[in-house]
Amino acid sequence: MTTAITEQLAGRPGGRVRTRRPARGVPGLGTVMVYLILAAMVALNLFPFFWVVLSSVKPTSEIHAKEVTFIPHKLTLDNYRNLFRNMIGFDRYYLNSFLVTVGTVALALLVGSLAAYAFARFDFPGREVLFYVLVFSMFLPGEIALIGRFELFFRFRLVNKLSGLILAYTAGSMALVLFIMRNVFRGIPQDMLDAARIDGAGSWQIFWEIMVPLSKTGLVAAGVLTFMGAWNEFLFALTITWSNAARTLPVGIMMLRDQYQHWEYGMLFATVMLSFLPVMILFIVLQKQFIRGATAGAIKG
Amino acid sequence: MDSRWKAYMYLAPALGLFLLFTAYPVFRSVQMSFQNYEFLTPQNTRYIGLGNYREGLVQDEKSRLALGNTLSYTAMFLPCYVLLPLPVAFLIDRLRRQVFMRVVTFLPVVVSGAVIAVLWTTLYHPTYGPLTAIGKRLLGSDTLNFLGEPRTAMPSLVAMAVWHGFGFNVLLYLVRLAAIPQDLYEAAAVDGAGRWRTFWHVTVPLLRPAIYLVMVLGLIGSLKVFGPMFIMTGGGPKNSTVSLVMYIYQTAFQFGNLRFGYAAAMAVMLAIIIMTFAIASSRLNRPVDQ
Repeated sequence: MTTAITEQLAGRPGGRVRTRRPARGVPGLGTVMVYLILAAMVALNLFPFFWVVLSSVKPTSEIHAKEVTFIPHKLTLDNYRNLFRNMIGFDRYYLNSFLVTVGTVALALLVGSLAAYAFARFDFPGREVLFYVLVFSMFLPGEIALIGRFELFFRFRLVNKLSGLILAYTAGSMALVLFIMRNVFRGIPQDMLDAARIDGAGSWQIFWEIMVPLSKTGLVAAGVLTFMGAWNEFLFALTITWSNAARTLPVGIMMLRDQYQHWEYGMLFATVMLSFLPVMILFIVLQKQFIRGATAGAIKG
Repeated sequence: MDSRWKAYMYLAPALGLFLLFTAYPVFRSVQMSFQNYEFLTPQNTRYIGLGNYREGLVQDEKSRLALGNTLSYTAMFLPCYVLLPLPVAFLIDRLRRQVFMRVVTFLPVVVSGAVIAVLWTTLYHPTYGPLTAIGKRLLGSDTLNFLGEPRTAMPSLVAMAVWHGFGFNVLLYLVRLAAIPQDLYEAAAVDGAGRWRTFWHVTVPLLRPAIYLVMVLGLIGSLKVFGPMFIMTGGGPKNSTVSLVMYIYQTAFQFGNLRFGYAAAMAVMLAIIIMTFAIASSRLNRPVDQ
């Protein structure tokens, strides 16, 4: 798989200006057709989100009407008002997801980069073996660790705790950070390190003052991947959380759906809308880093 | 201090986390898979050899049903997942300014699978869902319940999953297309190759590694599928959407005795299947045309 990985990483998302090119892509389609097909694709991609946004401002009577409407006849903010008046945990799930994700990203980047530094810049017995063991663990499906982990967490009283989730997610994403950062660290010229060493810098200082500042792109890519993993994880969070103190948004939103679909369908739309909007805005602001990081992460099997 | 020891110190936190939270749990799962371990009555635990594996492969009808469901999910999911994004990637690649299309295409990918599943439950809702309304009009039928009928439940989950993963694959293909050197197209033009020949002999071969990659990731992902069925159908109707991972979850955490041993055995079998595919694909993956 490594060949595909390095090749995939070598490909850079475009943005470069292209001059006239001979025969690229699919031949035989006029410009109008191209735009029509792309427009249809955009509509298909966005339709579910528009449905939620528009439904979230419909009055309950219209949501429950016999004819399903797409564009609301009457606008109202009642659903949002009700949601903010009676959160039933939604704000808590959000906060939990935020804390778990931030904690995981920080810890995984720190632990993974330190290990990557050891692998990239030091020589020690067992280096190759350890590296391959850690990278191999990246391809091991998490399901096989699930039950053993549950037992361990139960014994260590890490269940139903945010710290437990952070530790598990860090252990799960650290190898990927390590893999990306080792390659980045290796690319930093030896001269710079030698110069720093002559100036009296120790290896710890070199790590923080040279390696880390020069590896921002790599750190962002690794960070995006860790972020997506921790923010979206469902199975393990479902398994080890059973109260609002530790439930994350993916688990919580399912609970909310089960409650809302009986008595307040409109609030469900408001909830879903508020669940995806902030991430989407974050993505649009950071789209370049996001896309580069996420496609680099195709390596994670 | 010896630089060797420094290296071990930098490595220590990662190694500690790995040993405690990955290596040990995997070891325990494998060990449990040979035991009749039930979480609520651990005192009765003893080794039973391959008993759990035999139960999973031969005796238990529901595990075979779960495997069958997972395979039929995979069979429907994989071709769409790999092929549908291709033409869209080709079209976007022709545009000079791609930022807008890239962002819009990628948008669903950043939303978590659980939120998407809840969202699509509302699209499929038997009375208030817009997809149901459209379907009723197209089919001219009064009763349509996408998630409630054994015939339509699994394809409905597949449709959602394909939609959710679509943008990611378009981007992967695009990244790869953008990396094809312009010289190759110019050389082909000089040689007098037409547009179709250039497409088949330059674009397609160079895109092959990306297609393989998407295939492998899609295969692994669909063998591990859990969230969509757990959230949208609960495995129903009539167990028609219980996937392997969902059955593992139910065996370990939902049904009565919390049968960790049996669930672990099924997880080990799933891991073996997935690792086999991953290793086999790394052989397929060697680029031939470069």
